[in-house]
Amino acid sequence: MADVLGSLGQTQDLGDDLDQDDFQLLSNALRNERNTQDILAYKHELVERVQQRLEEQMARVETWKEAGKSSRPEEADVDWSVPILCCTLNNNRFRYLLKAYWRARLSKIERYATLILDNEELQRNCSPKELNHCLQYFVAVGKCLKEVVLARLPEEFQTLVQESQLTEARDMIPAPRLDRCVFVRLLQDAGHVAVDAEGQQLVDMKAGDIYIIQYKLVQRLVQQDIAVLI
Amino acid sequence: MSALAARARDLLKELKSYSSDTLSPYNEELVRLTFSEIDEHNAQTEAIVSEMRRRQQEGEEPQQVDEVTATTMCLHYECIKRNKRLLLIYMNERMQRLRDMRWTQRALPETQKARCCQSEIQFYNDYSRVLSTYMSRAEGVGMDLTLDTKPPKDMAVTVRGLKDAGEVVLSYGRATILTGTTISIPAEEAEPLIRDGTVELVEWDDGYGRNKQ
Repeated sequence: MADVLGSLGQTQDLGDDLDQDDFQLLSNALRNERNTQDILAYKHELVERVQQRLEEQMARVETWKEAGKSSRPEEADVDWSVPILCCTLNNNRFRYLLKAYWRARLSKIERYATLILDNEELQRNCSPKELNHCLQYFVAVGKCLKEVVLARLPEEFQTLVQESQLTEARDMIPAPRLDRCVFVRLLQDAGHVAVDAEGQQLVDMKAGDIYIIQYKLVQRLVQQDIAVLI
Repeated sequence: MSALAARARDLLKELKSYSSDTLSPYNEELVRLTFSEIDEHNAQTEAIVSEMRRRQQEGEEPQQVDEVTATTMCLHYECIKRNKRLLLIYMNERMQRLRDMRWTQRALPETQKARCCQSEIQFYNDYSRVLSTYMSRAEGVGMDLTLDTKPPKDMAVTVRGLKDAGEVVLSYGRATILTGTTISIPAEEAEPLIRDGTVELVEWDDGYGRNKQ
């Protein structure tokens, strides 16, 4: 996009354009979210940065539109339609990614609401807004299930997180399956990584390598952005 | 007693026979029968327990529970658990579908609403409120997440009217939608119209495999 505008001599107006890096980072984040059931850490900084720049860009497009309308005859040779088109398209792409990212997270958070509320580590991975949503969602679901099913069962079966109170374990909390196989691509050299449960077998993972492997074995790499799910 | 937990299973089968974007009518009768089945299991368990207590009180030395009694109790216990799970699955699946409707259709269609029980309608309203809060500008992310579900390809899309909707207000002005007319409108504004069936997307191919939606 910079090239297109460069040939038009408009590059200086773009200034701090939403750069390729953030786009790449956000697509990676989205891909990771979609490819695993794990609740990954919320990317506060990235989302905030993208959101802020998106707003700036949208304001800029507006000013261009205004300029296009009010241009005096001698400036009529400045055609604003191409930059406006490019910028809007770019904004749309970012907006889609951002929304898809939130959507993907929200659906997982709703699915594993009980687990998240039970587990402080997972709570730290969610943004405050998501956590609030998680809680409210759980209340709504719990209320409905209680009214329709649980309240009409014999007393010792009325809990939602256990099959019955006679069993010790909380056996009815759905948890993400971390042992599913995923496709993963290394972004940097990860050194020797254990690829079996005992940690006996090591594989030297290099940048650019692609593996099909159980998610939990590369969980750390994905969380640290050394690898990305594809 | 019919086959164990068969009624609850029928509930699920009935729900499954409806496509995943519609609900089956809430089967009050079958749910009630399932609960009575659970109560029966429970009553029989309690009867066995009180029988054992009585014997203990009468001074009989605490004997080992014989195999038949133990098996019977286990079976009743497992049946209650199974019925409970099946009922929860039934409700969970129904709530999932209600949830999906909130995402795709914004409002609960009347036909589906008629098939819900009171608690489910309550759940839908609750969920709708919770989701709106998350998407609101004041307390949430400030964007409507139910839009932009497809990656953007172009600024504008061509749509064909499916019914006479009259004039609609779009960002660039007004447009009249009549059956069969095609107009080009901004992609993000086309989405709600496509969803509620006012227009359909016109797919066209420029010969290079582009522009396919």
